[in-house]
Amino acid sequence: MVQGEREAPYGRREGVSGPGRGSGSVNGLGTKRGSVDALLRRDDSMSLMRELVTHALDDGYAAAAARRAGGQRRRTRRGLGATLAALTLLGLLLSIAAVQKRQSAPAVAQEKAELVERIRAESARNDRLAARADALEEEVTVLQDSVLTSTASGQELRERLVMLEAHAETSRVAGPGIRIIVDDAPPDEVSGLVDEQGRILDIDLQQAVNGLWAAGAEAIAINGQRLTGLTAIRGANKSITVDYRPLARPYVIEAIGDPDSIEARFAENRGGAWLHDLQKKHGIRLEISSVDELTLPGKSGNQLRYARTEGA
Amino acid sequence: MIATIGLFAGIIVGLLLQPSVPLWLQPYLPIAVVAALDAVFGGLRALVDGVFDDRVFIISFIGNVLLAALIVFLGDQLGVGSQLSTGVVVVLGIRMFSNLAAIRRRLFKG
Repeated sequence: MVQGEREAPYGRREGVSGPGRGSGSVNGLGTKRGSVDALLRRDDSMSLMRELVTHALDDGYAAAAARRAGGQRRRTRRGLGATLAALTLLGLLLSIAAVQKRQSAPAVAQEKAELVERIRAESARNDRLAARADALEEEVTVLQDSVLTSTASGQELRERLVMLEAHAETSRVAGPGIRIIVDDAPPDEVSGLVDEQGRILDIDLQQAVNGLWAAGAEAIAINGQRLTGLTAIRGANKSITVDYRPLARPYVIEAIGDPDSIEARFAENRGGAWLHDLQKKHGIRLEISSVDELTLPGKSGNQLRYARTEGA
Repeated sequence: MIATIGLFAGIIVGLLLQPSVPLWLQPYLPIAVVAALDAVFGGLRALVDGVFDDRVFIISFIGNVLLAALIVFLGDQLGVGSQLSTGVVVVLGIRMFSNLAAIRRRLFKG
């Protein structure tokens, strides 16, 4: 074989399955036989498939037929009974599987509905607890006030506290300001298509809020959620979250500030220009109105990060 | 002929009784059905070819079902999930098709 290869290295290889695979016997059988053999050999990896197709019938049947041909033919009543039993079993299996499938489909749907129900119940409970926390915080503030006002040093402390709380956004504030309502662009009236560009993104709210701060806003809330210096406005998939709580459309931004100037200053600065641009280009909904009396809730659930004792 | 009566009897009994399958048995049911079907198609082809044998059929039927269940069990235990049973379905499916093709050739060509 080695010699043969040396004599005609390319001509021979054609017929053989490939380098390193052709055995001496393949070459020894002559060119024609060799190439057929090599073809069979080439799909060695397919032997399982070939076996499957050519030996689809259980070899046992052939063996049994051969045995019968040998003279011992017997087709007993017992054998027929067993065949009958096996087929009955198959029928049972089939119908049970079908029934099972039919029964489990609604069960899956029901499970899903139950999960949705549980999510709704839990989020409602969450809201209730948050409301309760807010009420309790209010109570704490009232009690704190009554304690502090009883002494002179307490009085001073209370004034500082009120001022600091206003900065920390933890107390409820009220006053005049503006309300901005923004929402996604409505679907096209003719085609009914929603312009993806007209969807309000987290950055739009961020720009609006930054613009409001720059316009002299003292307190801002989005959909009733008070913003602090640490509140994040972010996009999460298709919804916008404020402080990791998802917002529902439309977005209502309320800001307390000097009623004479805040609206004009906002309209002039980058935040206002951003929203007006969006309205012009993509047709988002934008309503800006000044409000005489706004009440913004305090930011609940603030963690104490830094504290020191009085006089230290 | 009698065999088909058995098949229909099984289906009707199953539909009438609607037995609930215990939870631990549920994963084995579909693959057992496929394996049993393979054995039945094999038997059918043997019948058409005239080499049908009760014993071979019964043994292949029970053996197929048990082996299929064992493979599902093994797949579960090894953590490969349904991949092993996918292999079983592919192999048995090919066998069923080639057996059915043989039956068809014999019946229609004569």
